[in-house]
Amino acid sequence: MNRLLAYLEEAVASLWRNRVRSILTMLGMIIGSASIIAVFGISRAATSGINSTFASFGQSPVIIYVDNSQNYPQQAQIHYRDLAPVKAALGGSAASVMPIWQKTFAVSFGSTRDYVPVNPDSAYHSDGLKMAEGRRIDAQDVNSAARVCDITQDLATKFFGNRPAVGNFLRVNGGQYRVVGVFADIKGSFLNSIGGTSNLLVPYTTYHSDLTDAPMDFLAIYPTDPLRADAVGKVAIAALQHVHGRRAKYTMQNTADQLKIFTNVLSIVGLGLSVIGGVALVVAGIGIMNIMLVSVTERTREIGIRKAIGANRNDIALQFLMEAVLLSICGGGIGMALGLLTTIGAASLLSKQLGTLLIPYLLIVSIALIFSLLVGTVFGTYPALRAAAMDPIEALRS
Amino acid sequence: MNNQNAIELRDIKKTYKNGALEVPVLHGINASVAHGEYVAIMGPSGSGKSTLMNLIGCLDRATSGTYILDGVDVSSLNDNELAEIRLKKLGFVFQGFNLLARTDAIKNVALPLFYAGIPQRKRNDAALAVLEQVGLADRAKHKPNELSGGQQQRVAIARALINDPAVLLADEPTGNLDTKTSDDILALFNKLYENGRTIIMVTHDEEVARHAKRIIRLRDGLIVSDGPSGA
Ligand SMILES: Nc1ncnc2c1ncn2[C@@H]1O[C@H](COP(=O)(O)OP(=O)(O)O)[C@@H](O)[C@H]1O
Ligand SMILES: [Mg+2]
Repeated sequence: MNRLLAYLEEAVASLWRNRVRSILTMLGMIIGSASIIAVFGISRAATSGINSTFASFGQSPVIIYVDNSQNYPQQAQIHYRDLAPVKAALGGSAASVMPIWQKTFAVSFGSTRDYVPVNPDSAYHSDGLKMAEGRRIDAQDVNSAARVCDITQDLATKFFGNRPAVGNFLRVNGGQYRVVGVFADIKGSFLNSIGGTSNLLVPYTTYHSDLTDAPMDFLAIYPTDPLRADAVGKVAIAALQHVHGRRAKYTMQNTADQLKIFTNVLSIVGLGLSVIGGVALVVAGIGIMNIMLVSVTERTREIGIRKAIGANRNDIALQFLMEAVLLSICGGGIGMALGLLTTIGAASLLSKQLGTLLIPYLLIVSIALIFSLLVGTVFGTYPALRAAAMDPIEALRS
Repeated sequence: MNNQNAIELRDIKKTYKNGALEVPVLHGINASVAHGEYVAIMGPSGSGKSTLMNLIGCLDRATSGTYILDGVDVSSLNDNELAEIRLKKLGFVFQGFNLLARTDAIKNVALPLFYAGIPQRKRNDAALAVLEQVGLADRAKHKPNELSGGQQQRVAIARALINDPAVLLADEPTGNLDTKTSDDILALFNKLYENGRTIIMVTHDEEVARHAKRIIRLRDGLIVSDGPSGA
């Protein structure tokens, strides 16, 4: 250990004597390491943000909608009355079946009036959305088609200002709706399960009885077993075709699959960029090897002197290997610091879209250290062995 | 001190091989040096003095023959074993000083102890003590380019002495120095000899050789005479 420290001291002194060259050699390492760390850090942080956003979706529904490429899409339209046969066909394989309309209605409180996207909701909530106050829409609301609503924080502020929202009434499309809950502020507007930060949710039964009698835009099914989503979707489509005729065509979208594709694409992009960073590291390593070879040649006489006074092959090899590793670790360390700063900067920008991001500091530091050590060792070995193999008399004569 | 010789050379031959070309340089050297002797090796340029010195110094291996150094047969040791011998039993002084540039005197002197695995504190104490012996304790922190030729050679001698070698080897130690400085170095060798150090010195200068107690003369790779210097 003491021995290694002494070699380290020698290596530091020698690199310091050639500081300009040392820094230039480190530059490749700095750039390679910084880019790998930045790419890795940012993609990990972004993935953590996206994953937590997705997690707040909870279980993803299978969405079924009318295929508009068919000859008579009109005939295939999914009506509210179709719910019953679909539910019957699905039985226990669906935890919840509900219609989705995506409509906007005039909403007002006193003199404040605006058009607001209104969503149907059921009593089945697999998402992790939290309430700032009040409660979610429950089974009783749905069963009785109650005129109640949950609203987002933005709407509460817009219509009620500082006054309490829960218990107050909003006029939606002419009817009076009692506010029973306000969602907690939804971190990250990029994606969330209710589709925005300015939404109003009413029981889907109320939506049908009070707001619209139009066919639904989608049918949403939450399968009991998420792994059997496709099968459940097919059963539902078969049930719809039983009602609308075999020629009615429907499209099924398994949102869980889509999210998977999205994260896969993200990780492939991250991988690709990491490969580029890896190439940069190899180039940096070759730079280190080159400089070390030059250094070995320049210091042939020094090597001869050291051998003459009793240094053996290992002593010489270790000395030069130490210098190479020191170069790569210093370069890698500086690069890591730059990469981390970039990651932190990018994460603070991205967090506006994605909510709180987790930066894997420990992982980043260990990756940077391991890669630097590896590059220095791999590319420092050949020059070190060349130095170690020199003949002392030849070396002294140089 | 044991009663073996410090050095025993038996029928040492050396042939340099450069590809197909063979250059025979030493043709069978027989000599022994007792502990505490001060020997000069003389001969015209090209007679094989440096070649012999490199063999004695374990920097090179003989083509044939037996070499026993301080009781150890070193004829067939491998590179690392030879390095160990150089580290433990030999001290080298070169014509061109061969100090590490940009490294101060005390670090240069302490370097062999670094390879011997001695901790830093002890290394420095020992190096300072030998620098004292050669009269340069006050220049410990000076780098080679801040020292005169004579001072550099004394630092080199201090470095050669620090591991308390069985034999001190010097190849033309005064070759790069003026007469006055040469005399200083030779006086230092004399003092070391009087303290019991075994010294072998290569020179082509009769004046210098006369300081040794015994002179071995080489010509064309053979010993042509071996006897007291008359000093
Ligand atoms: N590495 C070598 N390869 C071939 N010939 C060599 C080598 N080293 C020395 N010689 C030759 O060996 C002879 C003796 O050289 P050297 O021992 O240096 O003589 P000296 O030191 O007495 O002047 C010379 O002819 C020299 O050219
Ligand atoms: Mg010579």
